[in-house]
Amino acid sequence: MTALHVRPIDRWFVDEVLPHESAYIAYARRTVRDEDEAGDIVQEVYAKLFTLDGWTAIANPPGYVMRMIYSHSIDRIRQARVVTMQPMPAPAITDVADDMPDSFRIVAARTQMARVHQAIAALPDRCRIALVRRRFGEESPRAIADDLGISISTFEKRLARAVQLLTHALTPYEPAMDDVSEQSQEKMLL
Amino acid sequence: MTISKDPLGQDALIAEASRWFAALEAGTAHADDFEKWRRGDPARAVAYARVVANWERIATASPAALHPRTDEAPAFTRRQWLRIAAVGVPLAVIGSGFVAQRAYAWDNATTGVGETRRVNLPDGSIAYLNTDTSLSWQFSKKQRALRLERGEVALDLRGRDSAIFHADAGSLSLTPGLFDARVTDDRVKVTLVDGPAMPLRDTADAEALKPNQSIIVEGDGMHRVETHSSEQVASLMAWRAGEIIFIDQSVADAAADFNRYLPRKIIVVDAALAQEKIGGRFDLSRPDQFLKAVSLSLNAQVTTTPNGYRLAR
Repeated sequence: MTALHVRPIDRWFVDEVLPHESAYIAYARRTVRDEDEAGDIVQEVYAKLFTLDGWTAIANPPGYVMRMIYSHSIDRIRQARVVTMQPMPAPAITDVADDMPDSFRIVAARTQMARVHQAIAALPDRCRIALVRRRFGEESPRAIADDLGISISTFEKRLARAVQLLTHALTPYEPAMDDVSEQSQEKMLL
Repeated sequence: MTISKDPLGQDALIAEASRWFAALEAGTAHADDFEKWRRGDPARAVAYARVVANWERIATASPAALHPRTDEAPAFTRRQWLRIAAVGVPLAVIGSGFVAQRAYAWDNATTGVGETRRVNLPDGSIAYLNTDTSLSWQFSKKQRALRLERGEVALDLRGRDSAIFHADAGSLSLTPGLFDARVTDDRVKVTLVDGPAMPLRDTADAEALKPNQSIIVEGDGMHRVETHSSEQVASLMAWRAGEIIFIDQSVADAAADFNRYLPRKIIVVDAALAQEKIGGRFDLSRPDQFLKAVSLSLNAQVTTTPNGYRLAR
């Protein structure tokens, strides 16, 4: 079952850009040294991507995003009145995407799955039931609502809450998540 | 532990996007209202895409993990649980995309008329197949080789080394970057869309292929390099956005371009009409809009036939 209203640009963003999110956040944090500001920069860069007419003509999208984060960080330093002196880790030459060894991929996939399991398990019961039955059960919202003895609008609210909590929980937060150091994550992209 | 704060500081927008997502799922929202909301701010489009990404991502969860943590008040009957288990496993296996694993044999991917497909190559490079395309590849530790038998491919070549690209008309050595390659009749055209200039051997025209340049190899071994405007290259890549763009093209050429994507073809029967020039941007899935635009602006008539459409005056 695929999500609704996914345009080609959304598909591209989900498939090519988002999988490397932990590297963007880690890199932004190393350039601006502030969690909130790093989050702001990544968000700004994402929003910028959705205004690009030429997204189809971008080679190595994750590398492109890293370079945009770099230039946005520099802009922020230029605009700030007082700046603490800090090293700016520049993104190196643009090549490579994910030429990681297979063993790393397996570990990453396992860690990913553990995170997903944890996130689902942490949902409030009612929200989890709505989500699981809709996502994995292939039941219509009407059938699920009837079976649970709730209205469609209640089902909708529970599902909304579930996907909201999931999105928060699955967005990478730790600078060096999983088993990879932030440097090696960056190297994979640049 | 539930993290209730969005690491990108978009809590309010994620909540809003989640409500739209659930309302679209439940069938209580109007698509037009949603599109209006999403178009209003790129940050909304980001939030919605992040919600979609996580919805898709949980497909990898195994049914056991979906079970409530404790034994208290089981939420599902056994019958429901079995149904979830039966559906959950194939989903987990399918995952997203198509990953090529074998290293020494030639692998192949194809698309039918009107289809596109994303293929993850073994080294992290990505190939996007356009309509009616056949692409083969053989990747070993020493060499990467690709062969375009038919159609068109956008190739995002990653890594450091070059790869060999074959077509019936000839072969080229490609360095990392984003290329559009298309074979027609007896020739192949490879355009560097984005990336560092690519050294060319055996050509008199240029020493390197720069972005927005194409190299055209004919079946008789002749090469030539063409330079395009960035608008032309953008229109070349429009298919990835589900669009087709015509810049000052004859109706005959435009119809031929559109026909690549259509199981039911457009035929231009009037010779004068075929030579008229047009421009515009159209949705690939909506040939009717193209036909309407041509009929209105060029005073043509559209007839629907069992096999397609006839454009006449």
